[in-house]
Amino acid sequence: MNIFDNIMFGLGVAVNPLNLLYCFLGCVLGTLIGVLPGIGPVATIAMLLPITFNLSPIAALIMLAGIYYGAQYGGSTTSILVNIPGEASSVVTCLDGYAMAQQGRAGPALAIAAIGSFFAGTVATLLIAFFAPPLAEVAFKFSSAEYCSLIVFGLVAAVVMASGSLLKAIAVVFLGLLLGIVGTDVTSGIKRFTFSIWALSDGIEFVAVAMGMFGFAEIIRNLELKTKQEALTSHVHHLMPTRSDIKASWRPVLRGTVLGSFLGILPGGGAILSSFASYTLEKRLAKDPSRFGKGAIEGVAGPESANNAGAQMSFIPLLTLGIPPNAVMALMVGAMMIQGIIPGPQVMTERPELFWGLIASMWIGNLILVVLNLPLIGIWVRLLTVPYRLLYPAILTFCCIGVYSINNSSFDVILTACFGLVGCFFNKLDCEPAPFLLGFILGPMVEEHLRRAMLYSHGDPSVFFTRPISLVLLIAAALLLFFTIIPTVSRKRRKVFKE
Amino acid sequence: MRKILRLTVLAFFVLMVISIAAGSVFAQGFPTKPIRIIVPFVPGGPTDVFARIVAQKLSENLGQQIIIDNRGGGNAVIGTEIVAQAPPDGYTLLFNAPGPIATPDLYKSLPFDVEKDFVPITLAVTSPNILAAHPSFPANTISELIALAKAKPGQLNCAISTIGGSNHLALELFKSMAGIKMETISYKGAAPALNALLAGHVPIMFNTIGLMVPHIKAGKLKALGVTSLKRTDIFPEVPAFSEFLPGFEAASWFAVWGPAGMPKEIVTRLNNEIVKALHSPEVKKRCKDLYAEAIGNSPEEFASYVKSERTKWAKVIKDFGIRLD
Repeated sequence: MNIFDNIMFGLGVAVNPLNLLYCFLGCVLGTLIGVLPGIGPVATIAMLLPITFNLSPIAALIMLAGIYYGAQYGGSTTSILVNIPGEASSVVTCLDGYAMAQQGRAGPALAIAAIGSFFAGTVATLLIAFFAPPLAEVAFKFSSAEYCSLIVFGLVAAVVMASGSLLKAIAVVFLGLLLGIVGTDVTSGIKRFTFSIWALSDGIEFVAVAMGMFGFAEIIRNLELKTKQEALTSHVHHLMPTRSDIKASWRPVLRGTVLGSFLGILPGGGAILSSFASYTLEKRLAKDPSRFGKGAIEGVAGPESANNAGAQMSFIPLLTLGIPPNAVMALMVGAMMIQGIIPGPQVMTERPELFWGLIASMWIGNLILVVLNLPLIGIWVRLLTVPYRLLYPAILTFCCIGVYSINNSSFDVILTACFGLVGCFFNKLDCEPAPFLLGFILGPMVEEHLRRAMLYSHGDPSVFFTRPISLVLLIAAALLLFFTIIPTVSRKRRKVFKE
Repeated sequence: MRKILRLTVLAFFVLMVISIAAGSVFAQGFPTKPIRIIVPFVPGGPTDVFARIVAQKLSENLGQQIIIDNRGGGNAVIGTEIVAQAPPDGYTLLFNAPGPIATPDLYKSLPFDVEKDFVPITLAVTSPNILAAHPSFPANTISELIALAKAKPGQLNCAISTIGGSNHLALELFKSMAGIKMETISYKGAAPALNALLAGHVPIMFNTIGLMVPHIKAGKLKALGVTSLKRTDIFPEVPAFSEFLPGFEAASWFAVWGPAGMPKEIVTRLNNEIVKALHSPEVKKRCKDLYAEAIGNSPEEFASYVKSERTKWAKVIKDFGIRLD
């Protein structure tokens, strides 16, 4: 059975009316929860697991998968409209997407996000169909040493991402690193900075931090500047992207797709890095980097494509090896096990309808989503015209419900409020929350991989430089840092010179 | 006057009879509202899957909804604490893998007392652990492995998916009974650990059979030994560790508990119903598909099993100084 036969077979399974219905249901549900700030695919899929008992395995997986990438599409909506990232990968969209919304260009931002995501989803689906097993093998080449170097590169990118003061960006990244340490250390099992609070023993919940610093802090800021309320609702220009928008976006979309496709294969955090990496890449390549952070459409097009490609590619370790690379895929494993299917390499050969049907439905799902989301843009944008005094309590309520739904823990909601205050401070001090969040996510990861790489090599640090991929990444990080600092240094020297 | 006295005495007797009957009717009428089973792990993991399989059948039998409440975190301590503090009316139960309840000595302090705060209901499911190795690993049998470890003490790396989990304890038991030293590398769960094993970054790992079976069958991993007392049906050619180290047993087990103070009738009723669900053909088949065995024994049998497990692991934990802090 060659590839084309398989794809046809998969399409046949996917367009079966019942499976199509579940795909549609999953996509709609996914978009809805993506749009509601806070409530994410993990909580939703967990709630729907009992229903999957009574469905056929393929219908269950199609629906859950639809929820997953539907949430990716919907998540960009909240990031752009109200500056609230639903997941780690949507943080970057907040930066320029929200700025565009404030300039009345929410429509083009949403449209480019949807179109870019569709393109990336199509490419990713094709890659999975043709290259799934070899791509899974590529992921094996990444041992902890390579991950560590990749994340070091990511941390340097976090500093580059910042549009304000370089010193503040570095300070804020380190603050994020420190807060990321709170919790149980993976390697030794020792608890750090948990102050005997059991709820902190798994670390500070990321969504609580993100929603607090982006969402709550933004609401506080808007309430302070009372005049802003009218400004938000006044000018909403055309809903569709202009020709110049499309011209500026198509290359970032391509680059983002490539980046996301590659990083998405790496289990455990690859997809998170894809949107950050894409943003940094676009900023580096742009003719005028100062536009970033103030509404540059490349800052939406690239990261959105990257994170959708990354999200689709994260199915590969699940489908080819049976290893879930993130929490949502772990739920899919649970759904499969409830049906009595053990995930593993044999799924491709023993249950081809599962493998190929799921792949085909991924593309159909992306199609449904772009058809669903483009007309909805008008409705979302009209939401912005709701008076702010009605909008923000609703946002706050949904955020609290969303944060609570992650662990059924009210402690997380309190944490969100605390981080709202922290975000407030950051605004006053003109520090950016995005590098902080990156440091928060990447800090524990770099430590885990650094120590594990040392354990593998029995204490030999040269392993970071003798392994080729790791060496390349470290050199890239050093170069990136060098080229970022040099203009700042030379500017300072010119200033001194003038004086 | 006498009529009133007679009526009063009659009424008194009737009331007494009703209240006695109501006592047993209460147990008969249980459950009258949905039951909440707390699974102290995030959804999708093996404990969660087994809990849902059992709950599905139990719900059918009882005619009441059973809600699975996932309260993961703190290595199962958070969810377990919630059950310890729940009212002992039988409407809040715990479905657990061995964790703080079986090995309380791992923790410096726990927010509950494992002896006093819980009532064992039944042992639900057991699943043996297996030691699997990357195909490039030089040893092919348990004796070769022990010889290799003795030749290079501390040089051999072994993966564990959770510190304090059953695979970690299995490894420590193996090290103590075989008298060898190995370096343990821990991961955030079974998925990353399995990934590292398949990639060859670590040579060996103990874990549940269900996790490793597809890869062993595909030839991506080789099985060295099983941790049950006897050989398994799935891999009859793979020896049990107890053939080389007499008495070696380290299986994963999943069980149902309730908060202390539950009335005896409710414990008995719950036990009967859960055991009935576990012995039903659907649950048996679903567990078998996942390479586990549905057990379902009486609270007393289960209690004595727990006692023996706790004693066994307490010794290993003490000997090796394993601490979860």
